[in-house]
Formats: sequence, C-alpha cells, structure tokens
Amino acid sequence: MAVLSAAGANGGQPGGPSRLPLVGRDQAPLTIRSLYAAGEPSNITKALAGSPDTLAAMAPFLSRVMNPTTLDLATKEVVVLRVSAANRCAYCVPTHEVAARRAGLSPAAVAALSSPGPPDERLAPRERTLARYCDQVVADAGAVGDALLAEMREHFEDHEIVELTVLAGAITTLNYLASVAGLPLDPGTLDAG
Amino acid sequence: MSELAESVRDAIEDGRLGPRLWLYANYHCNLACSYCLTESGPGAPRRELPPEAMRRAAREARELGFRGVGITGGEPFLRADLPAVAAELSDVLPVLVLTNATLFEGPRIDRLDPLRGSGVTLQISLDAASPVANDPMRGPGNFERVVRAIPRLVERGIGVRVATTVYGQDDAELAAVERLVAELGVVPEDHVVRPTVARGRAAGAGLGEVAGIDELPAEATVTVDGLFWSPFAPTVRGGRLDTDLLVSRQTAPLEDGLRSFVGLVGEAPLAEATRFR
Repeated sequence: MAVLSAAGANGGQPGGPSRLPLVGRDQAPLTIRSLYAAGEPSNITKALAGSPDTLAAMAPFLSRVMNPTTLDLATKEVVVLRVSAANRCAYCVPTHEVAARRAGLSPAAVAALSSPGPPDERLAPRERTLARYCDQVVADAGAVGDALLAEMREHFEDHEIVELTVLAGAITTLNYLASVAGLPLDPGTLDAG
Repeated sequence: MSELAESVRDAIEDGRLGPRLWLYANYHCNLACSYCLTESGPGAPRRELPPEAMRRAAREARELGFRGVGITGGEPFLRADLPAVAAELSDVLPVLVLTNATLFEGPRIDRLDPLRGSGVTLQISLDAASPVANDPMRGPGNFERVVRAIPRLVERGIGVRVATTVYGQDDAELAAVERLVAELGVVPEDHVVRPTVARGRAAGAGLGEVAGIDELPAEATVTVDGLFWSPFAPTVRGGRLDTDLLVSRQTAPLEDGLRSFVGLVGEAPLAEATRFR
C-alpha cells in the first residue's frame, strides 16, 4: 500500500520497533494510570505517556474531539482517516480503517478515504466534501477557498466546521508523533485486518 | 497565600503529604549495596541535580509550605559542592542529608566544616552491630568507617541520625545496633529503622516488600527526571528508570508539577511504617 511505504521513507520503519519509548502498564505514570485501567492502551497512548503531563492534558481534549458530539462517530472517522492518509501515517491509517468500519462506514468508503487521489463517488456527497476539505486543510495549512467553505456549509453548521477543523489539527499532531516514532501496529488492528 | 500553597499546607497538616521535599542530588555512589533502590555504584551515571535547581526548589518549597528539605542519592557527598550547597539550603529550610558516611576519613572530614552549627543533619546508614553482619550488604570496611565517623561528626557539632534498613536481621541484631548507636552518641529518637523496599536492585535480589502508591506515603521528590511520588519512586532497574510513580516531568517551577501531585493526594494519612527516613 502506497500509504505505508511513503511513511516509512519519512519517519520510522513500519514493522520495526518504536523509536520512542512505549510506556507499558507496569511503568504507567500516576497521573495517567486511569488510561491503562482497561488493559494495555494503544501504542500512540503509550508513546504519549513518555510525557505524562502532555498526555494528561491531551486525553480529555482528544476524547472530546474524537468522540460523537452533534457529529456522529462515522463523520469524525472520515476526518481521522482522511487526515491520517494525507499525512501518510503508517500507524494511524490501518488503525482507523478498522475504526471507521466499526463506526459504520462501508468498506468501499474506507478504501476511498485511505487511497491517494481525489475522493470519488464511493463516498456520499457529504463525506466527499468533508474529505476534500481535509485534503485542502492539510495540504495548504488551512487555506481553504470560499467555494469549498460554502460547500462545507451546505452540510455542516459553523460550530461543526470549527470542531472538524480542530479535529484535523489534533489528528495531524498524532500523525506526527506516530511517524516520528515509527509506531508498530496494535495487536487489535492486526487481528481485525 | 496561593491556592496551591493552601492545598499543600492542608495536605501536610492532615498527614496526606510528607512535610519534607526530597531532592536527588546524584545517582552515583562509592558503594554498591545489595538492596539499593537506584542501582547506584561507582559506575552509575551521575545525573546530578544542578545546585541552582536545588536552591530554587528549596526556596519554592518554603513558599509552598514544606517544612524541610531532604537530600539523597546516590552518595550526595561524592559531589564536591555538596557541603556548601546543603549549608546554603539550610538557611531556607532545615536540611537532612542521607549519607553512607564513608567519605569522611582522616582530614577529609574538614570538608564538612560548612555544616558545623548549620541547620543540616546527616542521616547515616548502619544496618548491624558488627562488620560480619553489616558489611555483606553494604560492602567491605563499611562498618568500621561508619563507627569511626559518627563520634567525630558529633564532636564537631554536626547533627547525626542513624538509619537501619531491615532486610532480615533478627531482634537480637536490631537490639545490638540500637545499643551501639547510643554508645556512638546518638539519642534513640535519632535512630530510625525502616524496611527494605522491593524496587531497584533489591527487587532483582528478591529482597524487601513490594511498594506501590498504596504502600508508599506521598513525599514529593525532585530528580533530574521529574517530580516523583516518593523518594522510593525514582528507582532504577536494569539501567532503566522506573516511571510508574512519576507524577510530572515539570519541576521548575516546582508548583507546575506539584499541582498534579496535590491532585493525587487522597484523604488517607501517611503510613508511618513505610515513611521514607
């Protein structure tokens, strides 16, 4: 898959060990121990745990922007997957292909979101607009033209556009960390694959 | 008073937070004790807390309501600047320095002159009343050096406490060490007996009692790596620092990390049995 090889060239080697420490349950710092209560968390959480102060501040924020609000989970996963693909994140793309299917997106829609090139008719008009919006936000640092913003407004309220844009930025942050570390995939992702 | 200082004072008052801020001066040591929490030894990376960081931490600790500073390691007196820094800190808050007291032979004891009549007390490790019983854990010659050092320190007007770490000595041995400590000129109130904690080298050797957040009372501890739950927390095993009792990477200003710390301090009072001393 093109997405995987591209990220390998940019950062850590997919399939290799993480280049940054992954904090396991036995070493979980006190302020973030609750994130380990249900068992070993994802590798991105374990990487963030290297800076517990950062993770302690980010966890409630990420939970807010990634979970359903007035926007359902499938819509959020469109952003997460498309932004991760645009950022060529070898860890986040397979992880959120699984999450997006669980959120109710069709296999065809998931494949469209994670493949390079303009979003096509495998996506419904609303998802297609959102995917194009994500591409433009990532590619050009938020320089979205009036026409595309107007198209977004046909599908989303202004407050939702704020939320989706912040989500795109939050996911970009995680894409950066995952690629710098070269995070290995989580067992759950491999099993689901 | 800031809201944080108020919380710190309340927590200390209620016994939910130890009254002393601990500073890890360094991690290297001239000894390599079998039960060492930090795998300290002559070859251990030094990881020294810079003197300015120690001064700043002490000043901020006083502002926040701490009542004392503890300096530990490693062997703090391997640092050439330690006597002067400790004496300086004691102008801010009373200081307790944990030491093996093996670096004070002959004229080397003169290095400690800055401590005479200061607010610095030395706490010296001594586990048994004879070399045969003491030295297997702490190293050859340790017993003789310690019993030579204690009266000389007392003579010079330097405050001395003795700490005995329990790892299996029987009651007769512990009674003998109590008598010896008194003979050396240290009053019983200044002799503390504490358990071995199963972290660091002790865990590898199968020694001591398991200690996590539920067993260890909260005693804020600053190292070069961050702010930890207790002086028993920033342990090293297999050359790797344990982070399971790390509270924050932020120690300067101290209040940054301490804000997270206070959030963790529950309603339970300190467990006297395991308090670090």
